[in-house]
Amino acid sequence: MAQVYSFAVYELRDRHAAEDATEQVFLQALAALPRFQERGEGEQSTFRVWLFQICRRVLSNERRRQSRRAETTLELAEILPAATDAAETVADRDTLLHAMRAIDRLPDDRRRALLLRFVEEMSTAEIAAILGRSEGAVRVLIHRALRSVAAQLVSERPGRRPHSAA
Amino acid sequence: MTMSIPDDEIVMSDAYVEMLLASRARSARALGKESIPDPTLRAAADLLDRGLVRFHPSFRFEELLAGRLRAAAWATPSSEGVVAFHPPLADGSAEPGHGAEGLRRAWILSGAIASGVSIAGAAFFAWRRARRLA
Repeated sequence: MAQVYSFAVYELRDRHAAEDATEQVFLQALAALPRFQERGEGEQSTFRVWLFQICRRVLSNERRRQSRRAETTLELAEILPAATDAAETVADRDTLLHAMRAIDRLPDDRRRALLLRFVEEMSTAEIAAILGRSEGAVRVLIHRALRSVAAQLVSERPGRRPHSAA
Repeated sequence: MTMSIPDDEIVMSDAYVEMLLASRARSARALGKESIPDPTLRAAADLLDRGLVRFHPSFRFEELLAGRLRAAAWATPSSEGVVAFHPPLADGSAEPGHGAEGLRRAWILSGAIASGVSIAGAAFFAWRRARRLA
């Protein structure tokens, strides 16, 4: 459940909206479970892909609804610090917020591919199945997304490159 | 208009992200810094690797959702499904009024949530197990 919820938080920027969306996803999954066809065993199970296909539809509708209503959702600044307390510096967190804003401005498929890769740690094959694209297309989406984020970070912080811990 | 990207550039950034994600599991960083020539791209990938944490729902929400799913599962026609509480009742039946013979498709919900197992995983496991037994 955490995977669906977490993806929803990133997509909707609002914990309550993410809870509502998560509930919708699981209720829809429960209703559709009799029609689900497993095509793999163990780690090859297609269940997660199937669940995230439902998730993608629910979140697409919710984001569209949010944009129509011009809802003001929580800024990630209110969410991220608590989640990253243990690790990084204030400067790093600030940079991360810039990155998050850049991610939010990405085209839908690029944003989703990036989040599914980094947050959910999905393989390109899984992401491809969820987004209905080829694996090669997903690699391009992620690469372009990284480029956009990198460019945004550089442009928002003139004279600085994104802070790297390495 | 989109500019084409050289294939090797895409392959290199994909490999770098793969290494980043793999290093999470190993809790170690022994990555080839030269694998992406563009330092800004590498720094962005490093930042996202460190910063994009997974959010976890509250236990309260998990319990609430478990209850709603259980109610929804109960609302399905009895020929389609039976909700099984976890652990099962002492006599092996899934629920009062539903014998084991009715357990064609069961969803284990409440106990699984409390123990931190994902709803979907538990539900799917129970469903597949029931399907094999059927």
